[in-house]
Amino acid sequence: MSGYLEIVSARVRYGDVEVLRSIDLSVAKGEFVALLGSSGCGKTTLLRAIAGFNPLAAGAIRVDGRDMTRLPPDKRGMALVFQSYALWPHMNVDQNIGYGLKLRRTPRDLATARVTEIKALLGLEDFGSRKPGELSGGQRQRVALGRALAINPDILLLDEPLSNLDARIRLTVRHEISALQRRLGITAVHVTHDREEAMVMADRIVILNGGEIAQVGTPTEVYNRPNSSFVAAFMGAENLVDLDLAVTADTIEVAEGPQNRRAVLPRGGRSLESGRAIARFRSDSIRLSAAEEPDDDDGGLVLRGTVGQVGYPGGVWRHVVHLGDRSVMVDAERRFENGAEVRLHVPGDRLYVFSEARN
Amino acid sequence: MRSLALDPRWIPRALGLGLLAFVIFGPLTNLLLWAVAERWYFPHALPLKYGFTYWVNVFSPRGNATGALVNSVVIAGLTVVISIGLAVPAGYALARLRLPLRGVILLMLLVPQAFPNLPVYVNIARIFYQFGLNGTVLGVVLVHASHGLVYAVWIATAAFSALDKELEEAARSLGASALRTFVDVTLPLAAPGLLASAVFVFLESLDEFTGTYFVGAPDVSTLPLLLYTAGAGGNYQIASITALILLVPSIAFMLVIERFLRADVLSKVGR
Repeated sequence: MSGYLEIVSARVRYGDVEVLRSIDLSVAKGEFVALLGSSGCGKTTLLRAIAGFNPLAAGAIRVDGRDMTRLPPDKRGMALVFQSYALWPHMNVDQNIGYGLKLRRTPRDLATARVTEIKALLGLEDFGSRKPGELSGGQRQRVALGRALAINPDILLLDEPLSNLDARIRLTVRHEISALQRRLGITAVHVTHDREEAMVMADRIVILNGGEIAQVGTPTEVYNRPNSSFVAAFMGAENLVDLDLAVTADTIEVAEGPQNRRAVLPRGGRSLESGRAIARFRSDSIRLSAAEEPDDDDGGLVLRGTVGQVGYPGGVWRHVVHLGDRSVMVDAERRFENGAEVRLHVPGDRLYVFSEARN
Repeated sequence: MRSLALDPRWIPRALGLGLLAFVIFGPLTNLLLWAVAERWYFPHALPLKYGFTYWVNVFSPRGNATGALVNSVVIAGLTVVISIGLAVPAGYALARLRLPLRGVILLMLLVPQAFPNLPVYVNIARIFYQFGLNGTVLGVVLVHASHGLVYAVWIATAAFSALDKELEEAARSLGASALRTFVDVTLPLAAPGLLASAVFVFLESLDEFTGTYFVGAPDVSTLPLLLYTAGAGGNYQIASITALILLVPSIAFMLVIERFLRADVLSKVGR
């Protein structure tokens, strides 16, 4: 598949440190792609490389077949929205939004109409003559977005534009931005460290780890079929147990272990090897039952543990359950007391198993 | 209820403040009195006769003050143009580019200041003589600029360093060339700092004596040279009036600096 924005074996170095190692990514026209990763994974570096602020040590960046690798930022037809917003304090809202149009020598009446249109789109009608210093965080964020949208960029680049907003405003702005992007049909690359933000906004998620792409996929793919222990953990499956596997063509047989019962799970096309393995699961995908209750085996993996701690974050009870020397978090509708012996039923399709040799 | 009675602990403070005020304003009062004194001699504590005849003399066509004032302002103006003209690109480069010898370059600007002035100026005068620059306005401007560049470059570097780089990148990203970005974003935002450095350079030049004396005198006369001649000749009225004229721009510009030079720029001086 040949995409609109093509990144081919891109490498970026800061001095001797290779921050990005051979990134390959293809973004279709009109697609919203999120670059997701923890701090220092290279996501902002990749975005700035696309924008033209970080030169590539090797590789290429193409837009619609045109090579952009050596072009300066102002010749790339992209617009970058900064995490700090980077609004010019000496210009008012109208001048900030209209600056890109001024650069393109848009006739004044057309430019004024465009600025008015953008302000209406973002609910900034009443703030045209205000300076950035006189605006709230949410308003500044919208001005920064409007300034980028005003020039109808080929590609919109967003560098954690929501991270400086209050949690409540962030939720609404999330939906505003993705609705706007869909309506205008803009190709967008969005950098974030917020998993949920990436999930609800993006068509596709690129998970970065240590300057490399760990996995690319739709939100449901990376959430339900993580390809590595890292991605599984990053997507919320923080609970970790050790297992011993015997893999056949279409089943995975889990051997009886100190904390788990023997189980046979469908393989589901996963590439696994027999031997030591680690398995990850989310705290909310488990059924918890007391050890003395009658057992109703439903085909998943059953683990035995002791409750170490109980808390109530709201909605469900959160238990810390000790499995030998490991601890896992388990949410349950009802409360199990400290020290209670419990069984954890993890459904087969919610258990992410990875051979130890691979991770 | 608080008593209105005098707190004895305030007495030493009041005395201290009074002494400080006298140290600062005493000489200035003396200057003001001399400027309007027609006749004043020992042992009288105050002038015997007040008047403005010396002011008329100073500004009469025969007096040298008007010419010296014009010279001073022209030289200070040209010094500002040269210093800021060099300091803007130099300061930008020092603030933004990763220059390997950044510290050394900033330090080198200080070198002329590090040695005693007199030997430096004698040598400058000797070298300028070869090029025919002695006794010319250009020669004096160059000497002043060697002084002014220190302030101009150091403050300009601080002003550009205080600017968030992303403000410039935002303009680049929207399609502005490097030069356009500099004109539209960098310069307006650095302007207060640059203005302050221009004021410093102007005041330094207006006040400069030694270099002007060695390179400019007697062909180029400035207010400080006039002040020196008048003072040395015992003509305290003329000296005081010249000193007052020199004080006016200093005070006016200090107010401007106080208004425009923000703490975040000052904190970056020399970084």
